[in-house]
Amino acid sequence: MIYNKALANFPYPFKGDHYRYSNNSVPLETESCVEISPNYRDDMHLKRHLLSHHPERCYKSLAHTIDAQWEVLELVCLHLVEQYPENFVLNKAGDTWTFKNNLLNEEYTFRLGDLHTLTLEPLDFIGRHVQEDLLLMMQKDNNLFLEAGQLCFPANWSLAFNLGMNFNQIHSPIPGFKEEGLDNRILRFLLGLQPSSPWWRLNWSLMAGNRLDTSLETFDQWGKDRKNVTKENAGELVHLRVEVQKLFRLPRSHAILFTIHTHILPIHRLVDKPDWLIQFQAIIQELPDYISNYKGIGLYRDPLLDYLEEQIKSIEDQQKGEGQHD
Amino acid sequence: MIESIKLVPGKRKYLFITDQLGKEVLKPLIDQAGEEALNNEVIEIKNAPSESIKEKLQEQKMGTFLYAAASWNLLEQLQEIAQSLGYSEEESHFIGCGAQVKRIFCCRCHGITLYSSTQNSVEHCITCDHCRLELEVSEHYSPLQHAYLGYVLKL
Repeated sequence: MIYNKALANFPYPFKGDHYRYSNNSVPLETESCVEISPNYRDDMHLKRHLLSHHPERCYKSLAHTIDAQWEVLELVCLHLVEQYPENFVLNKAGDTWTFKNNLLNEEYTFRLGDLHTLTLEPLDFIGRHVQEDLLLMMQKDNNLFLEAGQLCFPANWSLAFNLGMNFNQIHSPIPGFKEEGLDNRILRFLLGLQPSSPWWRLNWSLMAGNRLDTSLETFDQWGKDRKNVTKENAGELVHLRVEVQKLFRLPRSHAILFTIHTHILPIHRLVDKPDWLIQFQAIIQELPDYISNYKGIGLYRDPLLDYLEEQIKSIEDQQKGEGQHD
Repeated sequence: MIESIKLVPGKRKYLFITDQLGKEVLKPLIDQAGEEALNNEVIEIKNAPSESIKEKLQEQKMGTFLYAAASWNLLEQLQEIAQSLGYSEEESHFIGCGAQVKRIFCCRCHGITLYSSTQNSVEHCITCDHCRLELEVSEHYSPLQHAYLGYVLKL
């Protein structure tokens, strides 16, 4: 969702005064793989629009993932009704489930494991009821393979290209990731995930523009805005993009469900939180080029830093002014 | 790259697989194995890997180190067979010879354009045959697509 008003629930990602790639996962307290945020209806409308107009980039699966997909459907349904009993209702009659989405006023009845009772594959079906992108990693030969996914809001990557890759292959374009041994360390961590112990982490990047659907397939359109950032427009044009990523081990298939809820904040909103603003400036200033370029900031880091400096100065001036009045 | 190929010491057996093009590349290693009386076997293939090559790879015992040098097309087929049989990076070395024709996956339209790595090898850029977008050829490889990713060259 895009935060234009309330900042209270924004998943602010920064700690300390510098940033490096790391395995920053922590145990998940609320055992839910999905979360409904205030933009639910708008996000679902956009997601379903993208899925119907661009299925070739938004949904992919390999045939042998169907059993694991049913497991995802069950897990997401159960988490929705547990967390939001007013909005989602599930009636079970043996394997026949009736799932009601009161936010969208929809009702579906299907039999678990029976594809004929759904018009879509299970992952594609349940993904149309949650704001999260849903990725399914199958485990074999001591690695994890991306073999099914519903991805409408990617941070500049392509599900169609990455489908079938293992964890190391997916992350090979990240500078320094393999060289520092991070890929194997994080893979080992993921291989050790247990069904009863989900984890989560935050990932961030910056973007010029406020699109949720920053697919690699449309980069030639939205990427252009990176060249249009100036000190004057940086506050409105540049957005902090944060992904809440959750990891769940599925007990039957031993696959991993990876959910991504994307949140977008225009940079000028940081002015209301001076401590965030100052920390953000320090981190962007210190960021090594290899990370800055990979996160797509390289082209406009200078005008952004000029903007941040000006905002911080104006807050300081204001505080001085107030001090003099005392 | 080719000059740096060395015989990994201390293996129980060395298996060399080549085609006409790869023979020259592996010759120093094959000679060395012969001179040092190391357990080794040389197999030369003509066009495509046959069923007997698969059997040969399958029957190797632990401790066999595989060197394969061949034209790219053949090498990729060998690599696939070896991987499917569980050969790891630590017990095999694959060397591509001659021009490599790469399949490039267009980031915009998913179309495939063929690219010969000896041409334009300085610029690493092509135009997508399907949507005409200018692409920068990357090293990011998809085994499922048998293709390398082409990124937007210019914004």
